[in-house]
Amino acid sequence: MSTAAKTDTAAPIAMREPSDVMRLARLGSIHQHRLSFMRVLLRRLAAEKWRYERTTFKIDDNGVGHAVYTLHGPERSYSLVAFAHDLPPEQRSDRVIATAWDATFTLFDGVPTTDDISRLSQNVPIQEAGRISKKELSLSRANRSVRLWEHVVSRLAAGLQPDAELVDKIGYLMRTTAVYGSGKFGASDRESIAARPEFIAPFQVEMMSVYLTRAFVADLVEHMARARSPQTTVPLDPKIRRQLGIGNSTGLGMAPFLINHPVLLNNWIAAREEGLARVRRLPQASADEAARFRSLVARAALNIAEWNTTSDFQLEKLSELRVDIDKIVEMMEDSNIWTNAPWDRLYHWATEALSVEGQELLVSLMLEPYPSLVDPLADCMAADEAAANGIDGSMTIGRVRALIEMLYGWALETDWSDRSEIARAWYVSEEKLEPRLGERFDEDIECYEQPLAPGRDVAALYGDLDAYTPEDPVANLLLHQPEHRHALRSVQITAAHPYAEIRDNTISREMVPIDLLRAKLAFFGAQHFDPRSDRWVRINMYRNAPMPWELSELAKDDWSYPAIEGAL
Amino acid sequence: MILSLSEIEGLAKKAARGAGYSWGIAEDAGRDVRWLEGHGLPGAGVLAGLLIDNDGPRNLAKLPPRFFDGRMQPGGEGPMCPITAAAAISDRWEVLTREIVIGPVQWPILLLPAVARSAVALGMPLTMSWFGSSAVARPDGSVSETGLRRGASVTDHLKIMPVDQAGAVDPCNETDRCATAPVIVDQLNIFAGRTYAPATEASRLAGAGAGLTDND
Repeated sequence: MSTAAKTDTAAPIAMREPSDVMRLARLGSIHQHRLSFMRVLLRRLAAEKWRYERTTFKIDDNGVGHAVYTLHGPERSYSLVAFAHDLPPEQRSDRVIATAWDATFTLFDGVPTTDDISRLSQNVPIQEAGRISKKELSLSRANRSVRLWEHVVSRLAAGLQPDAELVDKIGYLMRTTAVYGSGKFGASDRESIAARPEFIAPFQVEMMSVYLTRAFVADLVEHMARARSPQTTVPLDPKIRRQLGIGNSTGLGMAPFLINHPVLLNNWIAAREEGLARVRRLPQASADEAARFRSLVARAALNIAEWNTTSDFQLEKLSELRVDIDKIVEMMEDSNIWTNAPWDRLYHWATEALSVEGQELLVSLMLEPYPSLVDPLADCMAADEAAANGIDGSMTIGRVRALIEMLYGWALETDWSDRSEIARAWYVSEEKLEPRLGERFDEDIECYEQPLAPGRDVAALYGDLDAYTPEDPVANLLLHQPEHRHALRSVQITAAHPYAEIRDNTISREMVPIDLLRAKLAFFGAQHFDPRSDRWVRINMYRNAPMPWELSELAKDDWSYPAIEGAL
Repeated sequence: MILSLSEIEGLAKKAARGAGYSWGIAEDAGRDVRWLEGHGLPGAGVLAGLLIDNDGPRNLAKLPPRFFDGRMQPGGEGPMCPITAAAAISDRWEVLTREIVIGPVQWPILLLPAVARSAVALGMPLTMSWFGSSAVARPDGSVSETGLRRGASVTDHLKIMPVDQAGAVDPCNETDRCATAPVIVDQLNIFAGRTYAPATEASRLAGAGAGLTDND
């Protein structure tokens, strides 16, 4: 079957409007999809037959030492250097301001020498307080899930497998609390490695680091069980090993990223939207494609059933999602839906019938049967951000006015003198140099405010355009009012990149900060979002993914939804 | 001290903001310092020198430079700030199609990144020279210099003009690391620190959002 031939004859269906897509509620409802960075990475590792090797594992019976895990690709090798520590419980905090962890990591460019290991052992365990070099690509740390860790160690030591229900419920043995990449703490800049084919797609370094961390953590838990009872211990059942992902705790530190990287955000969203448009343009779905979709809907339902959270916010979204899934299953029963632009009709139906969370799950599922249409779009998701940052000072004031009216209508309609619309302010704390969100009118933070409210700032720029004639170059305004330079740059970037800007108020009293985290984490490929508050979320990464040595054996890129026993 | 280029860009941006520049100008300052360091030139040290020279009550943002008759001059008393001047040139690089004399201006090397970008945008080589120092920026993005590292803190007469021949001087070697003295990093960190809000117990708990223990 040729999908390319189908698109040639399709009616033109445009990508969705940025004014619809770029709302916080919708961005905060995105689910992982074929273009998520974990999936892009594992597809490459499998297609290019990357070889996995546990190079070193020198960890004592107390769980202290180091290990090296290497992936060998067609041209280069990369090694996770892991340091395991014996952490007293009172020091176990998943806040970014912690100073000690159960395990610390760096992804090394190549295979480290003993000198490298010695240097890294002085720096990686202390994380932000140390320095790494251009040979290192990332810096990260993880803490045990105390509940599951002790359970698994004691069961394996006793010759038993862990309780399946507990494994399902918690889903990971360790969770990372920060994964730093590009240039942080002396690491290699992304620009230095961005031309390597394996790192063209975004966040491949970080995703590779987490993937190898998962392999290490499973080995470490077996090692600790063996240390406890060498005679009786058994290894983890490979199936349970696969079920275990790596958790992650993410706070507000990540939230400003999408606002600070507008061109990158545009390219991520545009790739997914183009994938959706391509699928919606298909005149029909083959029997195989329809069957694949139907099976994935069932598997997505199982995934939602396994989705544990105590967050009222997420529980409400999940209860709507369960109803949505039932509605989708009901739709599938009509055998006539697979002809006459089925995906476009399905999408239109969803916009009326489903919650926003349900619509976005459907979009992710619709991309699944079409790897050849969707997967190549991963190559379009990187961004040359430096090139897009230049300002066109020759643009006329009249043109700036027209652009703002076209792109920022929502911001011009907002009453920025209303205290509830500007109730919050983003700032960076002196204590840990991390972004935080405060109450503008209750805390002494306004003079430290970060430029993370593009709507308000563009509206202020718009208000000052009146002092200039429409023919004036905007360079004149910038010369006299440099305070508008940042907002003008946003306008010019958004004019050239339609999905660059979040079209919502990022400082209002109503804003839900975890929507920003969810959008980014879904593009990573994270699942099982478990908000712990409105500004802190736990997630699971690589749950059900093949282990590095299984990539060539297991079905292609089919791990993101849990398998149903006995089903296709 | 060895820093990544993204580290020095971030630090320079925060330092410029901490010194009182608008966010948009501070972003340009960060980018230009990164460009200089990436060409083996002393961007971090020069920015630190500039911010220290101007630290105090004088508000640079209120002194936009003036353009007239092939000249660019301070709008008020004292020499021009090179970051503001560089932004003004970047916004109207057509002025560089003819000779322009700029001055008095502080730390003139900070104008080089804008001149280099303009040479690429205009598709013509540009020279930039002041007392004892000169640089050539070519349309392919490469730059050559002589005497730039001496680091004049002010010049009355900075000349930028197009040239037919870009000369055969070896271009600056590009590098992906910033090597700078720890004292310079400390100086920039002092300015950057002014952008951070002092922590309070309330902000510790509410602002970041996470709980206190991870023992579950």
